[in-house]
Amino acid sequence: MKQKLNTALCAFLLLCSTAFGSGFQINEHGARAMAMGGAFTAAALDPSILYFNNAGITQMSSFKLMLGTTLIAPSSTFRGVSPAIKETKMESQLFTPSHFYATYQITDDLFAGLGFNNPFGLGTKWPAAWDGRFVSLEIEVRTFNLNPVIAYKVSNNFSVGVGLQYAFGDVLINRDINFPPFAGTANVNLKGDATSAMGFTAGLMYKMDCDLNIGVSYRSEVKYDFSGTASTTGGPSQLAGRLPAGDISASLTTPQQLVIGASYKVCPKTLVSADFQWVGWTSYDSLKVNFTDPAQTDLASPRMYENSYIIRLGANHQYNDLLDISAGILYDRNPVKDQFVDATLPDADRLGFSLGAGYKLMDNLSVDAAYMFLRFYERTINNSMVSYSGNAGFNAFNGTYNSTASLFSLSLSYNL
Amino acid sequence: MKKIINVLFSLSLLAFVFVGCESRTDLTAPPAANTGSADFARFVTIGNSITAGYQSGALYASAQNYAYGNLIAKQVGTTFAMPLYSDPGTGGRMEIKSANLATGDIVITYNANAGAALNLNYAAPYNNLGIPGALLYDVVNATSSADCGSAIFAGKPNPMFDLILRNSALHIGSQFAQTKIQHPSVVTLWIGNNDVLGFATSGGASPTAPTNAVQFDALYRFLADSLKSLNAKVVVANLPDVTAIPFFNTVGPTLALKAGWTKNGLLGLFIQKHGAAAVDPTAVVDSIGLLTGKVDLTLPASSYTPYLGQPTGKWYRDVAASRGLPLAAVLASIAGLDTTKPFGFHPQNPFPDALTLDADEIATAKTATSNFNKSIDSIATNRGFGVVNINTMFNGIRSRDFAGGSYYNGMKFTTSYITGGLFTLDGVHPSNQAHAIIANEFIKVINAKWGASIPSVNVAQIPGSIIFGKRINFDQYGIPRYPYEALSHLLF
Repeated sequence: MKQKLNTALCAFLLLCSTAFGSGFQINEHGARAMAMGGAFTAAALDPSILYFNNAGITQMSSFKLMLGTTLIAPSSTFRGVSPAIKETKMESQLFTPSHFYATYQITDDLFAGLGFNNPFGLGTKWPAAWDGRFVSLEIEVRTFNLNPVIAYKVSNNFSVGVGLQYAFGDVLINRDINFPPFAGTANVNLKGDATSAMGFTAGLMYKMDCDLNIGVSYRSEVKYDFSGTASTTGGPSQLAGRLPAGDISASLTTPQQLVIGASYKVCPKTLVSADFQWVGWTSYDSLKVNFTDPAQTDLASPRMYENSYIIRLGANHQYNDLLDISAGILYDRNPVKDQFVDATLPDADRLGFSLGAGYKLMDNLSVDAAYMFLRFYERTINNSMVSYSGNAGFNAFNGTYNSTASLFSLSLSYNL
Repeated sequence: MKKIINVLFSLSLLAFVFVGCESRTDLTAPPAANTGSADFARFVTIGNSITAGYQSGALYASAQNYAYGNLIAKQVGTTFAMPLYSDPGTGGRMEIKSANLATGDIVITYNANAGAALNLNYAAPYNNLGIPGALLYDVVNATSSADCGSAIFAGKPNPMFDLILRNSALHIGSQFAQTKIQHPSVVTLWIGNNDVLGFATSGGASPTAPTNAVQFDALYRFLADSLKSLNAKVVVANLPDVTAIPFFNTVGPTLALKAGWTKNGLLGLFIQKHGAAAVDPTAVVDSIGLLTGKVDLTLPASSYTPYLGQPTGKWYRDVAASRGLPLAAVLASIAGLDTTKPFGFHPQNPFPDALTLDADEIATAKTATSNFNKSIDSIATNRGFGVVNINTMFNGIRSRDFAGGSYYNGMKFTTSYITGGLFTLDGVHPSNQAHAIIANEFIKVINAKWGASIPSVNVAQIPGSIIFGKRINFDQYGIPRYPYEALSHLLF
C-alpha cells in the first residue's frame, strides 16, 4: 500500500501543472465537487471534502482514497493596444492541477486524512513578437500543497477539523526588455523555487437535522519565499554587465479564504448546496523581484488585488444505485482592479456552468467525471497603469480581453 | 424533486449554448486618419540624408523604415516606396564596439560589410526622394553621380544619386523631375543642411565656405516656384543650427573637463585657424572656451586627441598619405610648423584646422544657417507652403539639455552624443526616435494648415537604432576611439 501511495505521489509531482482561477486560485479539486459548481463545503459526498471542509471527513467511514486530475484549457484574446483592435490570441496550453485524498477513521469519533493539491497556479503564454512582449511573454506559477488533517466528531451533529498546509512551488517569468536609444531587445527569464511554506486549515460541520448540513471552512495565507536566478539572452554583449542576471528572490503570499456553505437534501436522493467563498486577495499587493547583486535594479510591479468572493450553487442526484449526476453554476468576482489588469493574468469576473456524473464501477471503486465551462466577462481596460513600451517611457497597455476556459475533471475513489 | 435537477441541467445546457457561442468581439476599428484637405494618395518627400533615413554613416533598411516620411505615411495609411538597402547598408555603418554606460566610455567601430539594394527594380520613382549628400542645387539639377554638386564643385561623384534616381533605367531626371512625374498630392521638402554642413564638418576645409546666401535664396526660390506649379500641398522644413549637433559638441567639452589644464600648466589648446598660412601663437582656446563651444572640435578630432602633448606630426603624415602628397609639401603649407613640439599644446604644433571649427568658422556657419532660414521661411510662406520650424524645435531641446531634458511620450532626450537618444553614431544623423519626433513636427504643421487630425507617432513605440557591432576591426593600442576612417565616407 505504501508503495502504491508513493507511486501515486510521484505521478502527481510529474502531472501537476498549473492553471487558472479568479486571481490565480484553483478551486477544482475533485470531479464531483466541480460538477456541483464547487458548492461542496457542506456536502461531504466524497473524500475531496478534505480540501473543501476538513471537518467533513468525519462523514467518511473506514479508509477511503481518491485520486484525480483536472484538465484546464484556457483561451484568451487581447485586442489592442487601444485604439487599435488587432487581436492577439494567447498560446493554447493545458494545465493539470491534480488531487489526492486519503481519509482514515481512527476511532468512532476521530478521523485523519492527507490531501495533496495545487491550490494556486497561473499560466499565460503569448506569441513571441506580440505588442505586449515587454509586459509578458510567459508566466507560470505552480504551488503544491500537502495537507494532513485530523477531524473530531464532537457530537453526532457537530464535527471540527484542523490541518496543516505544507507547501512548495515554483515560478517562471519571461519577457523582453529593450535599451533605448540602442537597437535590439533581449529576453529575460526569471526562475525560482520555494520550499517549506507553511499554513493551516480549519473546518466546522454542523448537521442541523438529518437533511440540512452547514459547513464553514478556512484556509490560511501561505507565504512562499522563492529564490532562483535571472538570465538574459539575446542582448548586446556590450551591455552584458547591465542586463538582468544573477540570483534573485521574491515572495508571494497566497490569500486566506473563508467559505460558508449549506447543503439540503430536498428528497432522499437529491441534494442541493450553496457556498459563499470569500478570498482575502489583499495579501497580493505587489510582485517584487529582488536581485542579490545590488548593482541590479530590483523589479516591482503593483498588483493591489482586492478581496473577492465566489457564489456557488450545485445539485447532486442519485439516479440509481450505480449512477449519480450533478450540475452547478458559479459566479466568480475577480480581485484585480482595472488599472492593474495585464497580459500576465487577463482576469475578469466570470460565470461557470458545470455538469458531471459518477458511476460505481465496482463495490469499492467509483469514477467521477465533470465538465465545466467558464465564460469571462469581456473586459476593456482604458486606464492601465502597465506600460508596454519597456524602458522607452510609459505607454498604457489598454485594450480588451476576452477569455473562456474549459475544464474537464476525472476522479477515482476507492474504499478499502 | 427531479424537477429541480432537470431545471438545473437545462439551465446549464442553455447557458453553455448562450455564453459559449456568442461572439464578444464587437469592437470597432479606429477610423482612418482625417487628413483634412490634404490628400495623401501620392506622397513624396524630397531632401538629403536625413530625409533618406541615413543613420550612423550608412543607408540601411532597418533605419530607412523609420525615416520621418515613412512614419508620416504610416500614420495616414498611404503607400511609400523607398530605395531600401539591406543591412548593414551601403557600407561603413558605425557600430558600438564596447560600451560602459556607467562611465560613458563608448568605443565605436565600423562595419566593413555592405548589404544590397532591395528595391532597385521598383518601376516608378520612389516616394522617398531623400538623397544622402544632396545640396539645394542638386534637387533640380542633379540626375546622376556625374552631375551632382559634389562632382561638379569638388570632383567627388556621389553614387547615391545613381542608387536612388536610377536614371540609367528610368530616364526621368532630378529629384524634382521624379517628384513631378508622380503628380504628387503632398510633398515635403527639407533641403539646405548640406549647404552649410559640408563646410562645418570639414572644419571649414572642404568646401571652404557655405553656399552663398544670395545664391541659396535664388535656388530656393526657383525650387519653390517649381513645387508650387505641381498644385500639391507642400510642407518645407527649415535648418537647425548645425553647430549645435554632437558632431561638434562632444570632443571639445570632454577634453575641457579631462585634460587637467591648470595642473599640467597648460594655457589651452593651440589651434590652426581657418585659412591661416602660418602658425599663430594667439590662436589658443582655454578650457572654458572648449567647454562653452567658443571653438568646436569635430568628432574625428577624437582620433588625434590621444596624441595631444606628444611631439608628433601624425596628422600631416595621414593627410599626405590620404591625398598622395609628399609629406614635405604638406608640412611646408604651414609656415612655422614644428612637429617636434608638443602637439596641440605648443603654438608651433597646433591642432589642425580641419578638426576644429574656430570662432570665425562657427560664426560663418551660424550666419549661413540664419540667412538660409530667412530665405526658406519667407519664400515658403509666400507660396502658401507649410513651414516646419525644426530650428526652433531643436534649439528648444538643446536649451533643456541641462534642465532635465526633453520628454516625448515619456521618453527623455537630450542632444548629447549617443546617450541623448536623438543622434546616431555619426553625431549628425537623427535616430529612429528623433525621426518620430520630426515626423510629429510635420504632422503638427499639416494638421494646423489643412484642418487634418493625423495622430502623432508614439515616440516610445519606435525601436532604438544605435547598433552594436559584432566584429572588432581595430586593435586595442592606437586608441582610435573614433576611427577616422569611419567618418571619411560620411554623407549628409
